[in-house]
Amino acid sequence: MSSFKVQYPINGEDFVSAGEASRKLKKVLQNLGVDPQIIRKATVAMYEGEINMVIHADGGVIDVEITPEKIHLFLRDKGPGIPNIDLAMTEGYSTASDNVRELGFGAGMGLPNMNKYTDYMNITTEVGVGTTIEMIVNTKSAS
Amino acid sequence: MTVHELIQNMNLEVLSCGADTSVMIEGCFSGDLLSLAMSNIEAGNVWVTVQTNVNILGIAALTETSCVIVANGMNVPDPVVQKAIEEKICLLRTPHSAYEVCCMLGERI
Repeated sequence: MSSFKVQYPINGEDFVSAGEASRKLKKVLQNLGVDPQIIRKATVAMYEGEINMVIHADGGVIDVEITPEKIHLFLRDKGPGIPNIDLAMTEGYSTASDNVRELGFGAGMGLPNMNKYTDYMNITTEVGVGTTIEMIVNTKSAS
Repeated sequence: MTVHELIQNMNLEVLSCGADTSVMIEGCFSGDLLSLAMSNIEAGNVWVTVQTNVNILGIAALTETSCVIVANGMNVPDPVVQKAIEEKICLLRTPHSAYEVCCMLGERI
């Protein structure tokens, strides 16, 4: 399998189609014959990131590069940025609105889940400018 | 036990029958926080929830639940039912609480 790239635009505040990009990625990975455990890790991480972009950042763009060794996810938004990454990475901490919480989101598990389900994660953020999250899921091991 | 057998056995209301009710049920997850559901549901699980917004369908599809059971007879908006039908996701409903559903599931699967 050679390198495969795909890009998904994410609409902000669109809770009806939120998660569509993750589902599309899942189908792509299934078609490429990727191990189901690896697909699960990548799609959970991407779903959480996608939802965060919808909730907090008025959307953005997700680029995915799939190689024989790894699934590389780049999530870019021009949202408000994350003032305190350590706090945002704390399970249970959330800045989501009550409206969002009523939908079942905003449990404060998004970033921790993204970290948990990926083999590498790096957050670059600037308040008032936006956030880029890079995540890698290795495809060589299902651990 | 298959989804079809579960529907009959627990007298569940079928809002959307999904792609295949002959699939086997493998365990259960009960919860309403979508991030927890996303990270905890295993393929084949029954998902018991009182959430009825459209996002439960995305979670169900991504996690490959065997079926979603909406507890407490919660109202499911028509667009959500329609999308479940379109997406071939098995969406069921019961007047019983999530606790009661889980107890019943525990006796059956």
